[in-house]
Amino acid sequence: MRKIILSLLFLFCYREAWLQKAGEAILLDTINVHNLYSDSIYASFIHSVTNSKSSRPFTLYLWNSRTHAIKLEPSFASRETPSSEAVFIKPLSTFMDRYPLILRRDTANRIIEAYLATSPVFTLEIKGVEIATSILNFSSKHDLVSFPEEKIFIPYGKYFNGDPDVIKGRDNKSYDKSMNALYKDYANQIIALNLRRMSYAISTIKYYNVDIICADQEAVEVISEPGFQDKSVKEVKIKAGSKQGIIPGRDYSCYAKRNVGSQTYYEHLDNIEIKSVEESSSIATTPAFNGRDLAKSFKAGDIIKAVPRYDKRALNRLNMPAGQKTINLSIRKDCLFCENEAQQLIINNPSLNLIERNAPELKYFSSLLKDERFIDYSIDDLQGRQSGYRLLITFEGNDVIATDVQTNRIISNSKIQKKLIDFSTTAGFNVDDLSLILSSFDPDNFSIRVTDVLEQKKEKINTVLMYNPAGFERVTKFEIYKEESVDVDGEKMKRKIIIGNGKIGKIFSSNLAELNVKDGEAAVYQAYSRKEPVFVQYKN
Amino acid sequence: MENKSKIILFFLFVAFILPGVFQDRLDAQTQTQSRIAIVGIDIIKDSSKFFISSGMDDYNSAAVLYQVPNACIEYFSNFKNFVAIDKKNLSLINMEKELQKSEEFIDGYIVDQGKDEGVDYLVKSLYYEKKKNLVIRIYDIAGGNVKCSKEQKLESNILGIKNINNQVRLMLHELVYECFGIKFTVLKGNEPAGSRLKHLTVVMGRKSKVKEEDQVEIFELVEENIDGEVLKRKNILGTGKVNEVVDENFSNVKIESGDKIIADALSKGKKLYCTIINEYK
Repeated sequence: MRKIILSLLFLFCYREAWLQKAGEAILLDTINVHNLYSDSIYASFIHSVTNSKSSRPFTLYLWNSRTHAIKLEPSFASRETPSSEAVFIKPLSTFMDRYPLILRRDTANRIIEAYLATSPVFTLEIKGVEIATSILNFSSKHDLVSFPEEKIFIPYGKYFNGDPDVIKGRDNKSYDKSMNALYKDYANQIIALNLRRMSYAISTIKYYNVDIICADQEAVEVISEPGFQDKSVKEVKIKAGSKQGIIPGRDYSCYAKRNVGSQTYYEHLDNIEIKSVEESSSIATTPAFNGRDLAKSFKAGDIIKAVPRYDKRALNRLNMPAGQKTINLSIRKDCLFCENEAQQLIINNPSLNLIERNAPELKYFSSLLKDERFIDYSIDDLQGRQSGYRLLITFEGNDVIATDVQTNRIISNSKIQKKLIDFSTTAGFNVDDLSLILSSFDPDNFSIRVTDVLEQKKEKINTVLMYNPAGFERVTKFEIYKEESVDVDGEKMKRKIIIGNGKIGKIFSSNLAELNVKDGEAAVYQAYSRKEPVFVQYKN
Repeated sequence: MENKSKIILFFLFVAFILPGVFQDRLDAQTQTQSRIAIVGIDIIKDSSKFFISSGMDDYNSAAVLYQVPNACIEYFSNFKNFVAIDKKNLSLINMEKELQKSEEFIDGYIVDQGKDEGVDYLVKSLYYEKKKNLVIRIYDIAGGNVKCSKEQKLESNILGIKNINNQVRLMLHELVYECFGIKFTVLKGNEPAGSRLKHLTVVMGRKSKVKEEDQVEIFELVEENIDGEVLKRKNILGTGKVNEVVDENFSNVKIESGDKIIADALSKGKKLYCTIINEYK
């Protein structure tokens, strides 16, 4: 009997080891490419991605973001693999044949200089969606190539019999004629400049590979050295390697676990760069003038974690308390890359899962998981796990409306503060607005609360610690209040009594900050000493 | 044996009666809130226009008028007496719920199905371009009739319609009093200087969509017996202005007229109420 069990166990282990893991589907948008330069850079980018020697399996698709059509990149025609994540890439190129004519004027509105402003960029907007759940994993923007503005000066008098702007307003045909003549004369100069920059762009792009696009979003453990005595750390060992998706050259930030009041958070120490990677460990080095804080933490025996630099969600996930509830929500939008400001704010918050419903392409990848061709892949755990959303956020003008999908109830309606120059629908949507929505929806788990008293002098409380799952912004003002129960026609109603004001001081982590109490330090102390519950709210 | 039957009876009481009592209490609490849905605005064009306009004024007023449904949503959402139901996103929400029924979601997160809330009332707005009048109607779904309606010329100046959100909010305050008899209880008088009263604490706050500078009417309800039928008459005692919105439930009102009568009424223990006057300033 024992032999049978052992052989079955062995067979199971063998099968698990034999099965291959699903990889990444990289979808490159093809509709933005429109001229010789952009085409060349784009082709070079595809070449670079195609030839990546990645630690993870991936398949490259050519994608049309308007029609949602996808097709395999020819070199992947015979090596398509199932994917666990779809990475959508939207390139933007501003290489042009005709750069805009800029006129600089003095205070008397006289033209000082006229030039063609050339500052081409090649930018990638990237969104990663988990295929099994439709959760938006990450959203980032990479400026692959960005050149400083180079001016091509124009003797405008040669082409225009006066002020070009006046001529444009008065006689558009004549203006166009002059501009055509101008561009004809300067065509060679523009081509030379573009080619020079293009060759530089292509040489930069060749270092861009799949691992950079699909880099993992997890925090990893830094191995501290017992008995460390130096003043500065030059090299650190990380408890994760190629198996965990660590890649050489990637920047990480180190954080040490700290306590404040009854809460814990991670404090920034130093930045590191991965130098060499083994199967389950890596070596990273600190840049110049870094490493002193790491050394102090090594000596103190702190718990140290490394988080991909600039990855706010990974850092915030590290700081999220274990019992914090999560909410699945979605934003009403018309395309995958729309409403970016609000999306980024939500993605950065690990207690929120943003469900993507504007990517019908995901259906194709879900269907691949059922394809018999991929019987050798471990994909059972990727099926039947699609996530629905409970909260729907709609932006209309300055209004933000949150609806509970379960009951169709409008949970909150608030106005966002937009600037005159904000054209995007979601611009101006910030942490305060998000906090209002979340606390209206689930006040028990998403309300701002005072957790500890941090500073107290005689009979005054000067600083308290606050926790807000939605996050904090600097210099935000709050009101501190207590509640009293009032009887109105037999109904018990709560009445807020403002006992003090406060302003955000030090922000420890995305959800933990100190509140410096102004006006009412004594009243706050009295409330605390009487063990009366004290609350906080945004000051209007 | 007798003890045993007593215990069984006790458990039966706990199992069947108590949950019923609590449920009734819960129902009573939720029943006080009416479910209300807001639909879009219809603009009735002026067909008698003979001259050709630049189109800009039409464009501006249309852009402003499309804010009316949103202003209604803002008014009714989180209002103490109402639950606002989202009609605008209904198709999207239904699509999402249908999607969640598929087998792809079998091990994933889904919302509870069948918890959609019905609507008791529907708010619809109309704008007559010729008269420049805005009409807001509240329809009773069960009765299938118009419960109440308010037509009003919108305040405007050379730049177009003035603060549409505030004008709609004041119209709705008048409507909800007419439709649902929603009035705000005067809790107590403040700062008694001699026999005169200057301020009142009223049970209306941010949840009642009250704003500072709102004009209020202070009144008592007098019961009149007409041919055996008891009717309530509104006896206006004075007016005031919202001085400070304290919190979600309470506001301070500065009395502007009738302070003596109001003080008298309060000292006699009479129940006083407030409503917001639909007067845009």
